[in-house]
Amino acid sequence: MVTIAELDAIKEKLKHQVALRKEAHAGTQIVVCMATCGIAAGARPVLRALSDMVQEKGIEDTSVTQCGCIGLCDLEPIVEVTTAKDGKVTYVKMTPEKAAEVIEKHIIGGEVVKEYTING
Amino acid sequence: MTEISLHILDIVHNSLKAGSDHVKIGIGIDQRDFLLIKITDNGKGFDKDFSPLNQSKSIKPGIKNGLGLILFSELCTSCDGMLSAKNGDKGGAEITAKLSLSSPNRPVLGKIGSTYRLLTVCNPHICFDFEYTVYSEGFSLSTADIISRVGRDALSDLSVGEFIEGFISRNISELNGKYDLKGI
Repeated sequence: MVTIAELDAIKEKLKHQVALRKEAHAGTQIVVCMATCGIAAGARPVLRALSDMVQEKGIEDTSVTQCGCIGLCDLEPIVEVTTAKDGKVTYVKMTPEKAAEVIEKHIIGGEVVKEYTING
Repeated sequence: MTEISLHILDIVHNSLKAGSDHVKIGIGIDQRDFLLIKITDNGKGFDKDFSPLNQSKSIKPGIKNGLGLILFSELCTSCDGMLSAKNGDKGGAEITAKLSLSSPNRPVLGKIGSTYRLLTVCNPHICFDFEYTVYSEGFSLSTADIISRVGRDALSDLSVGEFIEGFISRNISELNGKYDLKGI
């Protein structure tokens, strides 16, 4: 059995790191649609990839949250990225691989990945 | 949906939409080899004139009826079980699902560790209690336990997320292995 006490070892390691806060009012917002349609189309691995990459790369001032159905079920999984520079960009038919590219190019690089957007 | 854990993820999002800040997810296997899933929350519950499993009933304008519960209910019925969705005695919603383990229609439980991890990590202000029981033996995990050990800020750390997922998936496979349950 894995016990919760094993978390204490992780805590020791974390002491040396600056915690990255993910508040709702953060500068960049990544929203994954997680309604029935989104989940059925594969939103869970997409959310997982986005959440892991934001943590892994230590991207600050960025929140990863979920929303309900926005009425574009045939384009799911949908990810909405809102940044101060480009406003809201809607990415459609996402996969974990595309999500990784969006993190690299849009969130880190500041360039919208046009071919994955709803207008792309 | 290809996994039961995706249905669970979907149902729990209903709880979040209903304003819950405490959601309990219980999964168990009973002596008669039924998979039992119970999700309870402290949100606003169902409107009294709203029947979540009846899609044909006309709905009040402005109230959107989703498909998540209906799809899960259909699945349970096709697996010799049933689903009930009602308000709990102390308020909030209470969803109980039952599926026969031996039904050929039953999808696998799937990556429930991943489901729980994403719920916890992406909703750090919501308390999620998780419990898994095989016959009378089981284990549990709660956001409150995790926060009391590492603090709320650490929920956004990758190593904590990996721990949560590993804790659940490894303990589940260990328990299932102990009772020689395959293909759960």
